[in-house]
Amino acid sequence: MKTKLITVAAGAAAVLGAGAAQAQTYPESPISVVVGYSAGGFADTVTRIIAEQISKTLGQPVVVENQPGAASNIAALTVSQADADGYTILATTTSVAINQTLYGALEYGMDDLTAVAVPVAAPEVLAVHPDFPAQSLEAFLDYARENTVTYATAGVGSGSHIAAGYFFSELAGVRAIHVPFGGGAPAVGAVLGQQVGATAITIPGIASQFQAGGLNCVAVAAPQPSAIAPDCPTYSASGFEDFVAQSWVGFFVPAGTDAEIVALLNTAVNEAIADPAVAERLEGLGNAIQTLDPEQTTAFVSDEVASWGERVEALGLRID
Amino acid sequence: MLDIFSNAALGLSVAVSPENLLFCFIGVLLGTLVGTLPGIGALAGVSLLLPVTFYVEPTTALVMLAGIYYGVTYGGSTAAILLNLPGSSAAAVTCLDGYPMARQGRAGVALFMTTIASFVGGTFAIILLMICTPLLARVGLNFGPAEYASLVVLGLIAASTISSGSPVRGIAMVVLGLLIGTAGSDFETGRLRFTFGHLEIADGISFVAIAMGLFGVAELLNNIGSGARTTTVSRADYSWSKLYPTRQDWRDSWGPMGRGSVLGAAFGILPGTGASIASFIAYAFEKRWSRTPGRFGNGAIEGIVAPESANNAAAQAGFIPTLSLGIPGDAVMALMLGALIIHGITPGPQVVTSHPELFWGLVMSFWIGNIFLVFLHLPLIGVWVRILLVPYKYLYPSMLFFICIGVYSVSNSSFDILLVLLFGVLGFAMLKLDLPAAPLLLGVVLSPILENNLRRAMLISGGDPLTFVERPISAGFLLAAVVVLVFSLNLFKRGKGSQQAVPADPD
Repeated sequence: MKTKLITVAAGAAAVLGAGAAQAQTYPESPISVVVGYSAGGFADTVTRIIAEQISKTLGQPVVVENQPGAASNIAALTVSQADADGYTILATTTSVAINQTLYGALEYGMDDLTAVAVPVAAPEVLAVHPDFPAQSLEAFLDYARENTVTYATAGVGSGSHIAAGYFFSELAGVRAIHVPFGGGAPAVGAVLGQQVGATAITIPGIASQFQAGGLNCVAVAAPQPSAIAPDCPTYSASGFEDFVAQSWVGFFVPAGTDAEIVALLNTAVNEAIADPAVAERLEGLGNAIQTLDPEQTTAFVSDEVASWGERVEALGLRID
Repeated sequence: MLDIFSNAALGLSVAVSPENLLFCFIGVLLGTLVGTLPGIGALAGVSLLLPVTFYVEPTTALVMLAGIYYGVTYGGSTAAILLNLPGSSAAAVTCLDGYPMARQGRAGVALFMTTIASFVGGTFAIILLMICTPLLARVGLNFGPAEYASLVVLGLIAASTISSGSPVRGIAMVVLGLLIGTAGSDFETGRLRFTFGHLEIADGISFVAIAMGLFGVAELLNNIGSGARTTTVSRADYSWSKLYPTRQDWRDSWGPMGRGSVLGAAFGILPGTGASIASFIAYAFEKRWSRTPGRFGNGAIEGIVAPESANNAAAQAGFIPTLSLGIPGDAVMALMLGALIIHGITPGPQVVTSHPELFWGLVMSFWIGNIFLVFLHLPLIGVWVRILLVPYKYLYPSMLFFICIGVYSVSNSSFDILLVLLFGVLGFAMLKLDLPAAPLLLGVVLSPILENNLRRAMLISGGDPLTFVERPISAGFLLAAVVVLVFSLNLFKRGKGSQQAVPADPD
């Protein structure tokens, strides 16, 4: 029903707009960014920080709308069916890469979207309560071989779940019981209250606990230690070479959008994150800034789709 | 103790700066408006104003956003009482007695007393917030999945007893609500259940859509048939003297307000679950406490002041875990923390100590905001009550219009509007069959909380169900649930007795 409405609206708009080449005059009206998550979440916060800056560069209002639901699939579907004129942008996360393998039947694919920029990435971490009997990755795995361990995540099918599940069962060969929560905050609360043994989460979701000493970081799934928890070793340093898992926020436009518009938006995003104040805010959350051109962005996204797909298949996860 | 006064003084000096006063007022005003419009909740109001907060100090930003948040809980009762349109599960409880009061021409009294009750509840929780935030924050952490699951069991038993009429019907509706609440993704495997191919309900059926359908649209359909009356109250019923509570109203309200405030503040410190449970536990408690439980559901003043004070106490107490641990109680609190992050302040345990002016400034602004709200609401009562004099032919189409906008605004989903229609028809059928809607609604709200926490607790315990009775807090809730259940079966018998015109014994 909704699909039909959108198709009709798109058809009408195409006739009225006569499809004139808009790249020279773009942007001449407000741009809307559709976030696939609720306001206040990680993706929303990052998007709003960047959108505010882009709005200054492009000289047009950039309106952030939230269309949460089904791990951002609803927003992705909406944007994939929107006019390819650069006025509707999707803001989503690693989930869009995971979902391509996780979901059996999606009404959109990565072919329907063109990646504009993936400006920030934040590593996954494993964290425990200071009273937990194992405080290093090696000790944790030894402990898990002798005892039943549980780990909390933001939810089933999240990057944290897939990365940690893949690590425990495929790389480390230990049994750890996944306890999904409805978001990162309750997962952190469960470890603080020692309801579960550990949490697998992205750095922005737990940074304040590291800083306040509420929880300890066991391992970080990045090539380099994070500035938020500089003493926390990488998985590589703990003997699991090249285990990297990051949660990113990326912007996409409908496939078929003029390459000049994509390049213009890519430049605007890159200029936004180059602003020292913006960079400071984003890095303060535990994000790493990524400056990629459109080709690099496309390559990054397709690598992510492939590597997350591999992990999803190894875990045998599927949602139909 | 001295600390509290110096902190309060610091907070007050921040809160009374002209800028903070102005933004506090804007916040509560907007909260009132957004709360009064059916279906448009705090989330929509806060997200709308989020961009404005980029340009002001973080404390000012939070003062305004928080003002919207508790302003909405004040405003939410207006549409519930006047039009039977609850925007939240708390307001659904207020409908139970508020709407009958409106139909008896006592809407003014109901609105007046809910404002006072909200103020009392809010004030109580603010005092709690000032004195024992660090202490209480830790209490919330002791609540694991097993405790939440048991608390919800107690809540559901209480929910089944809140409606007038037979407890069996109440329990049946709670169970139906629980079943409806299972639609959406399975929390452990992610598989979609009962979505019939609609991704729009992958995260569950929109609560607002169900509430608007079951209450508002059903009531509207029901009134279409009754052609004789053209307005909710006749002009003869409407007079200024009926706007203000009588001495008896005041006397009946103090006790319920006090108990509601305590219950609300106690449940409010539990992130997520507390606010939705607090108001109807308070209602169920009052109904148990009352010597005349039969009046509940027919316009008893205790039935609106208890849940309203609980609801506002819970709204203010919800800031305890949010501010002291950085763990938001609900989506709106998460959004407020997002506003702090945008300003470069990382929410977490260190906020209270590293930004005392922010924490105490915010807490003191709650006082000011609550006072603003009382002065904002009391003069408006006369205006709101006039809505009831609007003929149905104008009132109902406008109601439908606002319902559609409100429901759509929750997640920009037009599918949800179709759901309102569906639940409206269901609600109408339930009205005709004399089945209560409130227990169903609460069943829907609590269904995922119960299921997910039950399964989480079992995952953690390795499949051992004894975990629910081995943990003392959890065992306490289950015991309380058994007591309430036994008591309500007893009441059921007594209800039968009174049908034979035997006077109820005054226990």
